[in-house]
Amino acid sequence: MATPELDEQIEVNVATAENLPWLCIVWDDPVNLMSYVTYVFQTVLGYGRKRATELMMQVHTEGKAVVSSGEKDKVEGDVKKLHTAGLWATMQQAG
Amino acid sequence: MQAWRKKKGLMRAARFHTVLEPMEREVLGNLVSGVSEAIIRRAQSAPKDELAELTGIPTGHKDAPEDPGMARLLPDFEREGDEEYEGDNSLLRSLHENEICRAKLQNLQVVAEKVGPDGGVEITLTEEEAHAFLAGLNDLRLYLASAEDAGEDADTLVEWLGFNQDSLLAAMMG
Repeated sequence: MATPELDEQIEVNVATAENLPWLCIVWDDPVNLMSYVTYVFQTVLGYGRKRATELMMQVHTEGKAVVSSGEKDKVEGDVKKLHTAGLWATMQQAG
Repeated sequence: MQAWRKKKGLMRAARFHTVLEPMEREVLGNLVSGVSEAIIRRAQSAPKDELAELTGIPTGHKDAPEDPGMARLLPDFEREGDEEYEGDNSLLRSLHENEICRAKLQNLQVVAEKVGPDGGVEITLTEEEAHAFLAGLNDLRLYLASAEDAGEDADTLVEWLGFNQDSLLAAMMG
């Protein structure tokens, strides 16, 4: 359970633009197979099969999904790995 | 081609196995060398800049490839219209594109070795090779499906590569 101090801390972080985390977004693609996209989410991003399948379905039905977030360097690394695997991924700052 | 099968051994790690038709092997071999050459041309045409030569950190292209097949293999890091798109996007590309090209070439090399002169119609992959093979097949599909002169033959090939890839995935994940 969150303590009052922790809640305050979160509020401060959210209010500072520089601290906004970056998001890694995967976009729907007419070529990549659903099975391959799920496999990439498992092997590249480390998700379990269930979560990887959910994210793949979100990309498929909604056109995109946020697949990871965090510091810019970390998200940049994720985009790079997803491009290497052939997924259409981009990064942007949350907010 | 035959569907991929997982071969379990008591004394060694699993292997993945298929048999291609001779024609399939030839087509796959030609395709993999064509796409590899396109990636090599892209990497070799990267601008040489003084800072890169001083620091030894190679920099890649700042702009997306004009060839639509290559553009699909090397997409932008940021989306046009996003706040920091200009500048940041081209910086990210120049930082990472060469390494992405290198990794793609290594994956394609695994496919090339298996179907090339030293390979054959019988293909056996270790698990590590299977990961590279899947990514390599995927890049071939993406390149063909996005290429400018993609005709009916390309569609058939994209479909066949998809069958091949899906079958290997099923053998690996099953």
